[in-house]
Parts: sequence; C-alpha cells; structure tokens
Amino acid sequence: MDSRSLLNEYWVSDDIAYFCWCSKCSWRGEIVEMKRVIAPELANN
Amino acid sequence: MLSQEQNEVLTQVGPDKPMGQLLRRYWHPIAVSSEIEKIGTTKKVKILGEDLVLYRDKSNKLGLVADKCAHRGVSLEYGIPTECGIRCQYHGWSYDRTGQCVEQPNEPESSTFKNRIKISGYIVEELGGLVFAYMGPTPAPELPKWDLFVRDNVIRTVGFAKIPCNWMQIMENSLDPTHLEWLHGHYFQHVFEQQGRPQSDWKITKHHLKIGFDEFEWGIIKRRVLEGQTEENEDWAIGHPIVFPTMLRVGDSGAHSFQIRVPIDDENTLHFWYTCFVPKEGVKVPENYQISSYECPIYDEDGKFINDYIDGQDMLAWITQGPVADRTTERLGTSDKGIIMYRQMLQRELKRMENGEDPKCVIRDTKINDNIELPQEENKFSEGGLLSGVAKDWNTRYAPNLDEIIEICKGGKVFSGL
Repeated sequence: MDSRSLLNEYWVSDDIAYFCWCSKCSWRGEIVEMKRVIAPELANN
Repeated sequence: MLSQEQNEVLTQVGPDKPMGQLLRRYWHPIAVSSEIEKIGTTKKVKILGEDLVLYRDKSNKLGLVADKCAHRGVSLEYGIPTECGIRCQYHGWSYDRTGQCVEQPNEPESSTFKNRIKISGYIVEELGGLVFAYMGPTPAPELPKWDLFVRDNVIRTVGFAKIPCNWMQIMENSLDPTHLEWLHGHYFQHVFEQQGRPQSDWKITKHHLKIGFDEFEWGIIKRRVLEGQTEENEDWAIGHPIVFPTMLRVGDSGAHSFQIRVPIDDENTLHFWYTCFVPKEGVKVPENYQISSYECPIYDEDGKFINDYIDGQDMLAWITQGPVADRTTERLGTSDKGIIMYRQMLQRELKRMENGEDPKCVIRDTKINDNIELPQEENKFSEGGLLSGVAKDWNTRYAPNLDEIIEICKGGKVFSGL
C-alpha cells in the first residue's frame, strides 16, 4: 500500500475493521473482515 | 493499528520529512513575548528539528536564525544582537534577519566571501503575548488571529512545558473524549482518595453516552453526550474544536484556553497552555495588565508524575506512551474513531500540500483574518463554570498571579503591581 494512504486497523466488538483512505482517488470507507458469509434474509413467501 | 512506515510519516517533523514539510506551512508559537522583551536578549530554541536562536535586535525587532555560525559552528545563543541582525561573538561575522552574512570583519575589505554565506533565517511575529515563527516556503500566510489572541477585557496567562514525547500522541489525546471520565474522573477520585481529600469534590466522572466528530472550516469539532445530558446540551450542541493541525480550544464561561503543541523534534514537544480568564459582567480588566507566564512542572521531587491536576494527568498519559508511541501494537476500538479521523485528515492535507495547494487552516485572505471566532462551550459538562472554578486543579495553579486574577475577575483590586 502507498504510505501516503491510510489503513488504520481497529476493533468493533469481535470484528477487525480497517478504516481506509486512498491518497490517489480519495476513497474513504471501512472494510470489516468476515468470518462467515451470511446471505441476506430470504423473502418470506 | 498502523504500519511502522505510516507511523513515521505521521510523526516525523524534520525538514526533509512529509509531516515536517506540512507543519512548516503553519505559524507556531516559540516563546512567550516577555522572555525576549529586552533589546539584546537571545534565546535558544529548537523547533521542528532545527536548532535556532531567537533574538531582539537594537531596532527592537525579533529575528530567528540557525544556532550555528557558518564560520566555525559556534552557537549564536551567545551572539551580539546588532541594529538589524546578530553578530557572532567569536570572530564578528554578522547576519541579517534572513540569515544572510553581511559582514566578516577580518576578511579583506573587497572580499565577496560573505555573499556566499547564508544560514537559515525565519520570519517571526508577536501576537497576544506570544512569539510566532513561520518556517515554510514564502510568501508566508497570515498569522491567524484566533479570537483569544485578540480579545479585549480578558486576563491572559501562559503556561509552558517541554514534553518529552512526540507531538502526535498529545494531539491524539485531544481527539479522545472518553479519557475525560477516566483519567480526569475516576483516576482523579483515586488520587483524591490517596491524598485523603473528599472524592465528592470532583465532578468529572459522568459516563459518556455518545461521542461525535464533525469537520468544520478550521478543524474538527469534538462532541459528547454525558449521562444525564441530551444533544441539546452544549457538550454536544456546541462541542469544542481541535484547530488543525496542532491546537485545542477548551474552557467554560470563566476561562477560555488554547493548548498549542509545537514539535521540538520527533521526541519532544513544546506545549503552551494559553488561558484567558473572563471577568464577571461589568468588571473591567486594568489596562495593560501584564500577561504572566509560568512553567508547568511534570515530575515531583521523587521523579514521579504530578498527578493531582488535570494537565499533569494528561502529561502522564502522553509521556508514558514512550518518546514516539508505537502504533504498530495499539488496539483501537470504536471510541477511538476521532483519532483515526485526525490521522486521515493529516494524510489528506499532506496530499493537498504535495499537489501544490494550501493545506487546511492556511489563511491568506486578510479579510478573514480578523478575530476568527471559535466555538466555545460555556456550561461545561452541565456543571456551569466548572473548569474556571477549579483553576487550582488546572495548569493555571502555577500562574504566579492566579489569586489576583481570580480577585480581579470577581471585581476586586490589583494588589501585586504586575
């Protein structure tokens, strides 16, 4: 990763989250590591 | 948690480092005016990793040049201020305020050698009882006239300390609202208990229900909702600002103050507590009442932190993280989002600077720069003038004239002759 961008790891309860900011395109957002892939709830027929 | 490389980008302040270059785009206070009041005075200072000498020359103007004479490396701290510069005491080489050598008394009269000799020289200005330096590329921006530097009818007092740690951990403390209820709340109660003082005297232990951070024109507004409060309360509705990049505004109805952090080098920070005491309505502060200054001690006679006042507790927290906090091992949680926001703002402004733009809070418009008002909470922690009421549990307890300040603010008389 470009050292001028920011990748700051922190914790949200059990989850590891990464606060990200890209110095090239200015995108800012968070990525949370997933331990399990959970599908959205299915529509109830 | 950050990588080592990122930690270095954020913390290192030398002239060839990105953060050092960003911080050089701002004016920084380097001394209290009264320290350098007398013509001919010199004072050695170290700012942003550079050893410098501040002096007042015989034209009553201030200069700031590199500490070392270019000739043989002698310290100009012992130099002789001239009409418009400073002369080295060793062989008389003389430098103007830009650091240009203008005289070499023992070289041939026709020699042009001096024209090729220049040491660093920086612009200095005084405002509100402080001496400020600008060490960045020219033209220099405006020296910001933040409200407390220019406000009328207040009593100013300035505390300072050389803090043996990197500037970033001091700033990050200002983006961390919840330490209030612990370091300055429960821990303070513990200290009171150890000292045999009644714990009920201390009121800053309310639990944080909510914290928030908003970017505004001059930095970040820090907000909190404490137990028993709502978002209508001033702690949330007004909040208090972190002025980018190195200043905190805090206070209440009786005392407004700035905490200003000036990196000395990567492992030391010059810290100013600049407080304006506000007299009660109808009270006029005596004209030309002197701005007092004092050094805030960090350690007691046993080498332990002085932990029975708010700022001593802060220093304990800043310094015990080490000379430069190791952010590769930290464990931040959700309550640390303000710290992350500030880190990102620093990186963003670095990028702006590298793109050739002025970073945040660099002011060039003189019309804007006329008493820049900052948000100020009056009813702090829903306890009214709590902080000013406990001025003796604050750094201001070391102000030589604190009793008199309190007396004048209440409408009493000047008794010290200051």
